[in-house]
Amino acid sequence: MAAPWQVNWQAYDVPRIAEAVQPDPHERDIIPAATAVGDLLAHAADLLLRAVGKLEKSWSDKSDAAAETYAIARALAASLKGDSETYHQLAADVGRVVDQIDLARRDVEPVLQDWLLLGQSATATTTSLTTAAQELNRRARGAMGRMDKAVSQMQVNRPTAYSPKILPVSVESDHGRKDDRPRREPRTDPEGSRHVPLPRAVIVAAGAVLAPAVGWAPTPGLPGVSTTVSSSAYSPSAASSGGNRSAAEVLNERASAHVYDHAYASADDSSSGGYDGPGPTLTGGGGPPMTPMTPGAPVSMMPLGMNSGMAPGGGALVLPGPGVGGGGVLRKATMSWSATPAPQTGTVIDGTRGGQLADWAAGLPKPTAQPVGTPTWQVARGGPGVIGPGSVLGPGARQAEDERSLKKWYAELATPWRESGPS
Amino acid sequence: MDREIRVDPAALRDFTKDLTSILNDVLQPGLERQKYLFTDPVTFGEHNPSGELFQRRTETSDAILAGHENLSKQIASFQFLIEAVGKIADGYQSADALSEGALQTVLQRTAGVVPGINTPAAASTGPAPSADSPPPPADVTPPAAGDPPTPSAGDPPADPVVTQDPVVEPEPVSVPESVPLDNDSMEPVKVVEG
Repeated sequence: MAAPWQVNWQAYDVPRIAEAVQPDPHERDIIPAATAVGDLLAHAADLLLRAVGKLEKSWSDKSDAAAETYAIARALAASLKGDSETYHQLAADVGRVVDQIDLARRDVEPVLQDWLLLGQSATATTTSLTTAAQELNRRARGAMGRMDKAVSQMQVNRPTAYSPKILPVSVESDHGRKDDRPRREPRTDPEGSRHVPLPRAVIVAAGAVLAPAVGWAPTPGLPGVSTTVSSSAYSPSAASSGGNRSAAEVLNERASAHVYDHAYASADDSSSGGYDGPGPTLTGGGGPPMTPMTPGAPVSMMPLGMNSGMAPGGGALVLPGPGVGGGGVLRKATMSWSATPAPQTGTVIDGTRGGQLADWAAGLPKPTAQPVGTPTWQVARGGPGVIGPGSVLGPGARQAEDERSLKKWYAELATPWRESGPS
Repeated sequence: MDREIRVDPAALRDFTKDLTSILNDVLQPGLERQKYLFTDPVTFGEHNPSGELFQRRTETSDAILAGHENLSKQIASFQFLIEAVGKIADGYQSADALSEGALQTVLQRTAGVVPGINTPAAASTGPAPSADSPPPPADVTPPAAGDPPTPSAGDPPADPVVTQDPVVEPEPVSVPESVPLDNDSMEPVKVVEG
């Protein structure tokens, strides 16, 4: 089935794309679990057929009761076998999809390294960096386009519905009882492999477990740039899957088919055990939301090193884009900015010139501490303090500390959605 | 299809034990170990805005849901088979007991008048007839002229013909109050059930 929306990768730069393909330690959890369930069902089917074969020697199938019993048992075994194959196929399909993410990650990782290192050069200029950024963005977006194309040709199939003509009434009556849904538990079994009896109803009763929630925590796009293109405009196969319906309509339809609101229990709900997995889940909408262009929003930028000629002491090159016009240079030490065209090298022009960049910069967080290396000593008498942090730690330690500080500053400024900045 | 009832009720009991073992010793613990497949969110690529990846995650979630629904019905079918086959075994055994009871009843009523047939089991109702039993009642009438030929005195009685629907509980055998007897012969007893 066609995707409900097609991403406009122009809304994502290299750091965002690198974030989007970051490995998830649980992304392959489904594979061994589905394989194990497939093996289990196949084994159960074999045991069932063996039991039927044994019984046939002692119960002639010329009896109506025997014939009916054998028919039910064989249909059950066939369903178990079929589902076993489906689980194995599901494991393989998920593996192939995740392989594509891995492939994209391998393509993007060196691009990200270039993005982070080019601004470290003392001779880098706004022109050279802007041109390099365009090329790096093109490569990263190309990797995502290839991933999308490959994944679009895959499909994860569901098992054939098993509909025996006999079903105990109790099974049907439990179907759809949402109150019976179990609370989410931590992904990692705290008991390890120790066998913990599970209430039978959790696995046995139909409707006790709804569809596993579909994880959805997309990396935000560039401010002011639409994150999707029309699905019908993009995909030649869209016509076969609803054609002119909008991506939002399709997604809302999907969202209504699942129940996401209770999938994640509140973290302070003691009965849930405090799930620590990914945060937000899909509650409706049409693809990743567009990031609004507001002052201080994380626009596309490249880090400038300590020795940068454009920003001595380090800073960031704000790349051209919505809300920032032609971009500019932001200096960490003074949190001052200069709009492009900036001097090719040399000091940053501190000032308050108007324009888009000024509007954007007005929303930046203000420095919360004195820059490292300029301490003020309060002494009762005598001269000013002469012992600074650098004197105590040595020049090497001082430089390393400054670089760590610069990285942290850049990460908070450019990629605030991450818990830690790029290394 | 020609009907045939050839069954070892003990094999039916073994079958229910086999199914119970598959359910409780194989499926249940195995599914417990993999329960997170059915409860945890599908997260691969969740940080990626790609609609294609979202679609694959949705399909995966749907497949797991459909698999779980199947699993619920499959386990219910196991439970159904265990219960149904157990009842079938009960039915066969009760039918056998009823047949035995019917035989004992007939034997009780014919004891002492049919040479070569032992007295009924002690468990049968009423006092066991003995050789000193009084002669048959006077109102016993001989068979009609058109009746089938009776076996000779020394012949064993013909096997009773039992026609029985395997899934229908047989009605209690009705035995006429007065059995036409002859001093040296008797009519073959025909028991029709169901």
